[in-house]
Amino acid sequence: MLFNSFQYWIFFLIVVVLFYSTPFRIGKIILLCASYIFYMWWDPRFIALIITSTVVDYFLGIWLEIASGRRKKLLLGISLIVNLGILGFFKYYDFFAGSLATLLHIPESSFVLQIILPLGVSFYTFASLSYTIDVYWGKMKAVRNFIDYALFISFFPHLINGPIIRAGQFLPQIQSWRRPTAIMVQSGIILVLSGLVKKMIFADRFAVVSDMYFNHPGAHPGWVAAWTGCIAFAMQVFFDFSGYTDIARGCARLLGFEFPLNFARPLLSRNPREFWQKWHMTLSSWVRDYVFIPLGGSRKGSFVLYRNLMIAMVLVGFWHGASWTFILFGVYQGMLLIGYRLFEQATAGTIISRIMKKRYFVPISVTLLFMSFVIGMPFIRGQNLQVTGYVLSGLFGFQHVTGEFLLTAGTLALFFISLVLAVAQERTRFIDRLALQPARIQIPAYVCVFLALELFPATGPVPFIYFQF
Amino acid sequence: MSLAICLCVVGVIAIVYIALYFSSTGTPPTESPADPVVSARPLHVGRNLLLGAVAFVALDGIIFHTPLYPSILAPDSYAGRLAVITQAEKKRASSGRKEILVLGDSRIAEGFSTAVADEVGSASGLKFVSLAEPASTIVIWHYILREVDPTTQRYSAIVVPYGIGYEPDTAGDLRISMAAPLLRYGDCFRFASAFQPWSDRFRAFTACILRGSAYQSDILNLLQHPIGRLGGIQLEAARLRSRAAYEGRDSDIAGTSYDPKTHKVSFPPNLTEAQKQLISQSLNPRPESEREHFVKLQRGWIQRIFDRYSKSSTAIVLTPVPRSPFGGLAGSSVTGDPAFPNALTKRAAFSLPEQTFNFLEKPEYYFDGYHLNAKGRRRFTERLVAELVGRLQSGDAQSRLTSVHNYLPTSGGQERYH
Repeated sequence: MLFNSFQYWIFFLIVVVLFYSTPFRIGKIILLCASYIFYMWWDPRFIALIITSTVVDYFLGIWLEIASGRRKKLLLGISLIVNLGILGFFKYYDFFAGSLATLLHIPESSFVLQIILPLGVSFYTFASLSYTIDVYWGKMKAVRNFIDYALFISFFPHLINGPIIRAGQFLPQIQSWRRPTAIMVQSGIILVLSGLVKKMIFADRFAVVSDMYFNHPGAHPGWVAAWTGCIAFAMQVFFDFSGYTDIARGCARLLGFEFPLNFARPLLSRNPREFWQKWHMTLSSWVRDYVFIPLGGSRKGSFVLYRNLMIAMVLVGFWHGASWTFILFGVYQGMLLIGYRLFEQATAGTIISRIMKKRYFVPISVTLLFMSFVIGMPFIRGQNLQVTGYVLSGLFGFQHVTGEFLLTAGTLALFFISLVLAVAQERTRFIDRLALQPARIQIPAYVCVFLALELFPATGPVPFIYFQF
Repeated sequence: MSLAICLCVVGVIAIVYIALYFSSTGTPPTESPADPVVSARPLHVGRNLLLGAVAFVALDGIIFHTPLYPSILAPDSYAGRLAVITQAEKKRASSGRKEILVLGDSRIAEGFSTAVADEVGSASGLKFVSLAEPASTIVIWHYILREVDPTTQRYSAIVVPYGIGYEPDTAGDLRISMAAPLLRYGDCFRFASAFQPWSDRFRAFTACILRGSAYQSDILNLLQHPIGRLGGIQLEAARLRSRAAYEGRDSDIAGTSYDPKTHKVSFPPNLTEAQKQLISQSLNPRPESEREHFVKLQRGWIQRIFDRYSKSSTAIVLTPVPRSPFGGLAGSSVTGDPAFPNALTKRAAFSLPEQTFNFLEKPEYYFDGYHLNAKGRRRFTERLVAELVGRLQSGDAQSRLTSVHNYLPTSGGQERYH
């Protein structure tokens, strides 16, 4: 049941009607059942994993709150083993087994189990872990109501594709739920529509070009083909995931819940640090709070800082997928962050630093950051190291041919439209403010969006990219 | 040329630079400002959304349900061609003779010639009109008839082919966009029921209400080549003339042979790879479910055509078409229980025997695996017209009814036609 399918909206409408026609204590149960149905729509078998994770962490949370000393550590250890065990087995077992088989020069089939990756496992595992760790640290009290906890883990708008919700953000909303105000409903609708436009018009159109390139990169040699193919994929990834998040946030808001922001126009960032503050914010803040800071953060000198940055970014890369290319993506992003810090230190107080802070230099910074982001795309989209290497050699001109320009007139138009909209949103937040506008502005805006969704979507519902993560 | 490209690149860089310059006030934002939470005046969320939806449906209606957009459809697209020929036929003045309308897909478009038909049938006072269009189906023919013959009195006879044609994978989308210019709001359920997968049914249903959704690729094409589109539309009259003058393709696939036991095809050396591929493709057996759907579709929609003409003097003539260069292959012919509705026996309608055109099922009459060439076209037309003239003039409706009553295709493909 994809967010961009008719099926989902029928489902959502039924859920909304049932939810609002009952008191909230029953409504919670309806939401929980709906979430399980939503998940089982893909593969009913894997509901057992969510329920296992939920039951284990629910009880561990309560015991963690009353335990102390070694017993407390043991309980946290159990939670980590169960959650990371599920994630590790289903997502990473085949990768490690395959790598070991390659290392030992034995056939992969002797180790690899061809395990199906349960949808959303990376998202709900991190959500669940954040709860037990927060209870362990004493940052929050253990939740006593099982339905509340189960709903936090499995609430369908975030279940499959995030954003990664923290217990501290969501559980208080369940405990003191109030009917959404008119402005919440209005902005929820706007978020849903904005997400659908991002996904169905922008992401799916760029997908046509990026698929054409990445499915057969050998058929499109040359640096122009490589850059245009990678730019198309970069735009696709952004619009796909940010579109999903918008729909998820919009649906949650329509049900009276607030999800955190996950993207804040990251492609207008000026440096890698700012980029990771704006891109997949719930993941980067999770890694910051539960990995980077516990490892010492930036408090123990430069070497530890750089080591921690690299560990955090490799983890971010590996979280995206069980493959060497994702690990390399993390290493690449870590190198960018470390490199930028070193550059900043080296140029501090110099004329270069002053120029870089000037407004006229902003477009150059943004372009450089965007190019560095595009260079990272072969790590995510390349099916294996060979493909990634081939595309990278194309990007850096090692194929000694120019190649064809893959972006179509339509995708170029979308590129510029998205740039103008992003700039306008950055400066005026016109999309967010639309909720407050009078009917004479809102109604034409609705008509434009409906027309765009009617006339310009790519064919058929295309799955969201982040499903594979 | 290179100067133009350079100027374009410089222009693009300038636009990007200016846009990014304006994206920033100079200091990087540290956090995203919160969404608005209060409003100074009451918000009419439901009302605005509803009005927006109503305005959208109305706008779609104005643009796409009126001739406004259909008049600028790409004339070389399936939908555009169908819209053009339907409008031209609607506006055509009566010839004063008994007019016979021939419907059909690409097999009839390639296989039937109005020029030859008029030549053969003029002595009998008949005038032939062909609205056969590649990729069209019985569903589309039903809507064509509604458009060109609103009174159901315009034609003396309407020739409707039966049998199974070529079905590309994209058939659903193609047929929805083709039928779009002919659809009305009230057709939603009936039109949607003509499609097999639920996704296609949903798209077909939506296309009846929100017609613009059926023209997505046409609109993108228009935005990409607006000048070319306008130029193409101006050539419509010339296109219609060349359609009337079309004589069929000269090439043939003589020398090609097929062994149904081993499923091996041997080709003569003069065929191109594309021709060979198409011929091999035409020999692939059709899935049973697809075949059943096709037969069911024909049964249901032929019935609708009969119902529409139930009070009219127009004769509905069901005709087989030559099935393939190698005769009746598995899945290429309609046999079994009577494929046609009981209504055949209730009114002035008759069917030509299934074997009428078997003599044309030879490679020398085909230019690929599906379509007759110029030679086949001439012979098919002559035979069809001869059959029609003979039967239409053989007596009153009652005699025709009798002949229809005696026609019952059987499971072995052997017919009982007396």
